[in-house]
Amino acid sequence: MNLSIFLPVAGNTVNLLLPIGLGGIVGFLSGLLGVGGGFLMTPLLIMIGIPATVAAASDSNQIVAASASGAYAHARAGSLDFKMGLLLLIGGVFGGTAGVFVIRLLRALGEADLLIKLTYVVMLGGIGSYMFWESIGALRGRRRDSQKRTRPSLYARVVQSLPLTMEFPRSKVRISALVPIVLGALVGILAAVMGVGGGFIMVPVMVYLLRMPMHVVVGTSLFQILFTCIDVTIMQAAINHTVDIVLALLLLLGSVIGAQLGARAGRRVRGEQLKVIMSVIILSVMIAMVADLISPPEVLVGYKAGH
Amino acid sequence: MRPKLTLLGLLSTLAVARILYAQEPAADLRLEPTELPLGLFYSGTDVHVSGRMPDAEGAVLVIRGVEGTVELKIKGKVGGLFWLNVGELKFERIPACYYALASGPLRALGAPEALAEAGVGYDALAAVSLGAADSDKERLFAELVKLKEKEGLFGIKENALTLEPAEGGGARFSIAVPMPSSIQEGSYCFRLVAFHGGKGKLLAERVLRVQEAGAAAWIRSLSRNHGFLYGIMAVGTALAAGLLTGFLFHLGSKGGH
Repeated sequence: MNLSIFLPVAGNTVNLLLPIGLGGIVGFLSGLLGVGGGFLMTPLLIMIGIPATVAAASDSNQIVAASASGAYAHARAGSLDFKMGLLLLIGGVFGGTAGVFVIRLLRALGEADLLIKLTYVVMLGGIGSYMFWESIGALRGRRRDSQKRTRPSLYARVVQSLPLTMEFPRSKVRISALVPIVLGALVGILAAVMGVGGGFIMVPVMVYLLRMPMHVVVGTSLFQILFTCIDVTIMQAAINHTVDIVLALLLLLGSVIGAQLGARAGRRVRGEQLKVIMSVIILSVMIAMVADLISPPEVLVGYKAGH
Repeated sequence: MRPKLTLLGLLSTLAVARILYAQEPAADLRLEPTELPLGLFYSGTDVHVSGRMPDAEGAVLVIRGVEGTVELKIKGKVGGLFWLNVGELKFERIPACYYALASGPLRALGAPEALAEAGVGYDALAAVSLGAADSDKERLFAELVKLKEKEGLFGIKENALTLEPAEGGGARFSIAVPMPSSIQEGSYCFRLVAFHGGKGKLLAERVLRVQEAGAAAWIRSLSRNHGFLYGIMAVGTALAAGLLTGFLFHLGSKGGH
């Protein structure tokens, strides 16, 4: 039985089951951890022969489906903070736009590639390690640092002094509306510079800087990712013509179901356990990136984007 | 009077043709099929190539795709440790695909210059694309060949073409050429080159037309010509699929309780 299908925009053929399976696995992680999964899916698609530009754009398209499916499940379960998500999104839009200019400036200064990749490694290493040790400590019953402290940190004092304080009942926090907007903008800048959706930065930001419960973080992150990926898909389709709808459909067939199963599985796992899983994935991506940076490539040339 | 003249003309044409045929069997090259539709379920196919040719020491079947410009990123070591993109390069007149299927080792058929002159081997491509000698560009051209070989779009196979004695003199051959799944739309030129006394001679040339068809052609055309509409369609489909699955799972979980 011929299970192959031709991808009209990517220009090559794949076995039908391969993108459906990949979509299922990454969708599960997406629903479980609140990440888009682009940092995992794009390299996997490149490995099966999809051109890098088509892989990234089509993955954004399928993330729309997976995050819509996951966000719907979380909204139904009451673990989506729409108000917080909206403020983060507003910041993210401004940050993303600013990030495009930052990347242009970096490229003009030269060696932007090295700077971007090192930023990636440092960010992933820092976030992943902190999340891992903190969650392991919590799982072992150690008290959190914040509970031990008698005096609030500088960050906490600055945040408390800001105006426009709001109540976020779903997240069980009372904080200035400026905090999620500014943090959303910072994540947006980093995401644009690093060329990723930013879910794996946004999740730790919500957990550690906004002090939101992990289950609400996952749903709210998916809500934000949904809008970011809608924007990216339309822009990629209109400007670069790199969205392969056939590939995206196959990926989303797996991912929408995976996202639902992931969201259900997440409700059975403790928040600290979710953080351990997330930190292990972040650290694995960091290690793969370091290996890619220091190991000699098989071929010393690659196609320029847009090929 | 007129029918007699016509008959006489026909007979003399046949006689001339017979004399020519007796002197040297004409070269012939056939492709089956000659047109290849790229539909949604295309997964690569074989093109059957057969033909005959006068006696020769060897032959090469060369298959070339449409020429175009290839823009590349060059990878190099930065700070003695990191492998990063260190520059960009453009090669002109690079065929979309290039295969040379030879009846024997290329070195035995002719000298490198003779092979290049006949359009056989990667040196022939380099000669067209690079022009004047440039050692750095030649090194990177070899990397481009490696990249294309990895994609299955370039290949040289020696001893792949079997020549057998043909009835009435000369040689005949038949070979199935696999066209990869990553093939692009365009015209693909099949050339039969014979080698005699170390020199190559083009004997015959046929064209295979590869064209996107059906839903694949419609999707590609929509993505190229109406990108914004295509993007909205892609997002709409994804949103509908995501929300519908969410709704169905919710119904399923309610039913389960």
